Amino acid sequence: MKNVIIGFLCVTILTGLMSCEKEKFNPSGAEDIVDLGGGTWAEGSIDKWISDSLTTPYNISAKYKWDAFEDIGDISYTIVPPKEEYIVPILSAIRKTWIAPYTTLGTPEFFNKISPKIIYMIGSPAYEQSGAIKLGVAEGGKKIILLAINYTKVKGMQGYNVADSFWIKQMFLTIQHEFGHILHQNILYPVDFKNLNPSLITSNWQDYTDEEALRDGFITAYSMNTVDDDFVEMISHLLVNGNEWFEQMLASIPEGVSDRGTTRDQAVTRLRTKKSIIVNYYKQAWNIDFAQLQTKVRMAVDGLLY
Amino acid sequence: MACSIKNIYRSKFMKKLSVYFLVLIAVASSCRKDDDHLFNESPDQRLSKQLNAYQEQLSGAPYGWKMILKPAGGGAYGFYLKFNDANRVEMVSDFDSASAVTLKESSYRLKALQQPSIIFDTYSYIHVLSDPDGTVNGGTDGVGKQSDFEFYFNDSTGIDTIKLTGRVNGSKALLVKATQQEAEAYSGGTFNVNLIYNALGKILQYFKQLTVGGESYDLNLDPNTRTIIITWVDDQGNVNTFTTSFYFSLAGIEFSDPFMAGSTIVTGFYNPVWSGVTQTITGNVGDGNTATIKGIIKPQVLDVDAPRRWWQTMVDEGSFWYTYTGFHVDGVDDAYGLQGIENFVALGFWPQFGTSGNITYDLAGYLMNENGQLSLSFGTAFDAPTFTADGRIRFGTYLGDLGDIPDDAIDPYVNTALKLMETSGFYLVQINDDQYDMVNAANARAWISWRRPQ
Repeated sequence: MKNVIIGFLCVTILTGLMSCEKEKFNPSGAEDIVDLGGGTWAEGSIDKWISDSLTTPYNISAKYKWDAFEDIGDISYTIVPPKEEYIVPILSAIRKTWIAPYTTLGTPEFFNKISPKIIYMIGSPAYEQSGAIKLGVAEGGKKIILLAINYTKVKGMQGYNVADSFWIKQMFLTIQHEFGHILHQNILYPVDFKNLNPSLITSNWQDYTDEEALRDGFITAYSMNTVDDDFVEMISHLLVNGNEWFEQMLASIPEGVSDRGTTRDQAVTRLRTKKSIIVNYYKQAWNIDFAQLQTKVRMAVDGLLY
Repeated sequence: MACSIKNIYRSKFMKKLSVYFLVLIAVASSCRKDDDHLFNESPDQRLSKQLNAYQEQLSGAPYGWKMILKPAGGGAYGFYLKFNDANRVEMVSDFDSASAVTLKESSYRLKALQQPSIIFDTYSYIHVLSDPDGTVNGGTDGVGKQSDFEFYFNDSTGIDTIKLTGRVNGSKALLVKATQQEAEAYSGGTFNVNLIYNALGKILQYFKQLTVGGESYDLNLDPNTRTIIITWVDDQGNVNTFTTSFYFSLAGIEFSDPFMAGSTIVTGFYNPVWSGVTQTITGNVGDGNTATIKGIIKPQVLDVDAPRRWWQTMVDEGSFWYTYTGFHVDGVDDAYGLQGIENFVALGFWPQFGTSGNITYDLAGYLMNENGQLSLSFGTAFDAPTFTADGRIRFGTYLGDLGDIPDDAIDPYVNTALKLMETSGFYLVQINDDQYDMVNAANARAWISWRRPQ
């Protein structure tokens, strides 16, 4: 009886297996998947400009059309896409003030290898609960998100006046800041930089004004956030605002001792040391003359603003 | 042991049972591959087909589409859109007189989000309502008018109409195919949203009366919130209120929901004509029925508790009401020129602002921009107000000035204070939780729209 049952069982299993004729995998159906490989649209003159001026030469893509799945840190922000007439002037300004100086003083290979690959543009700023507004976000070394594009005018755009330069300057600073991070993430700055003012680094940097930060030897209050931010804030301000401005900042530090115990001389020395470490770093790590880079960025910035 | 015998018996039975189960499983698992699909095509093929159908419907309409957009934040807005099949759309909107006559091109695309969707993916008049900058659209900083620019296609869509629902805020949009005539008018720059405002502007009184079929109704039209409130007392003496949002069409203004005026269906107010002789606007309310609008000093229905409610709200909240423009007088916005004061931001009203010598006083205070900081610089102090039984607030006697009044502020300051001290006092009309209009009772020709700080 047992054997009969087992025999019957075997036959059943065998039939079961045989009836499982496997279907061959047929990938042709995949062609029907909607938006596979990202959204598509008819290319326009803006797309062509981006392709010719950024993607082909520098391997950077610029996204300006709304993408619901892009993340700027918090999906609850109400933000809107940019105005089309702002795209090319702003990307062109970015090319002049950031890409051109770096690629002429460094090699294009160096730049193309480490530059962020995606610039995503948003029309409005992002309003924080606190009432503050967010103007830029960077995700690692791969993507830079630029906000408030619809406010960011450069010379030559309809209705531009010098008071508008606030927005575009902020944008230049954001880009140079983020690119500075990429540089030191590839080749770290000398340890000397970390030892300059470790006790003054604080995540409560918002509690200080830029003037207070300057008295402690920081170029901005945000510089106090981390040593990395100190390093790249110095880079971005030295490049975008230039040497003359830097000297003015040093001269503006008042006599006396700051709340956190820094004298005027200490603050000035600290800022000058930071600058000289950066100059050496650019030469040794990337073989770039920082003074020349500064001149080139400044000339480009001036040309776009005044 | 009796117990163990039972166990043996049970285990034998179990073994048999498990064999039966195996057979059952083996039979059941022998698979059948001829799946019966409910549809002939894969989900992706069907989705793609659906998106193509919507694309053809949108760009295939030879004269484009009229669109009514109702942001989740309230109100309604009229658009005209012309789609092509290369992701471009041209549009005008009734947002303001410029957007109504300036055809602007931007980008759109259809995409499969959780459902077939349309995304307006570069800035257009549609985005103006979503802009988080309150100065762009009169909405709240951070959220704007709580509108949308990514929409699902709704299932109930027909051939000549398309219904959309906003993905983020749930705003509603309705597209209706336009005629050749409409297309020419909208693209030709003849969409005049000022038609009705110009006519209404001839009426100097705040309160307006709509007369249809021999019956009169109080009419309140708020341009910023795009809201119309109609109130009246019926034959039984009951107070009735009808509220609708409105938008503009080529003919005039359209009510989102029609109003039943007796047996007349009022769908909007079209072709307004102002008569200086009778001081009335005559127009059409749909289906050939005429109606008139004229100014009145006191409406038939008054919210007599509104003044106290307005005042008490900010006592309870310890906050203030504000206006950017102060008094509108005899047809002139900001009649006293508050905006001309250097660094002026807003005029605020603080009930029970402070106490001086046992007197608790109210303050009409001036908020100024002092080196980037908003600060209360100076103001007029009044005694406690009185509230009349017929629904007026009368501000108390003038107690004095607080702070230093800059020279260029003296005229606006004095004129505003004098107006506030008018002995006949003010009616208050509540537009919504965040806005009250304060209208002078003497002739209804001066008013302030007070807003709640966000």
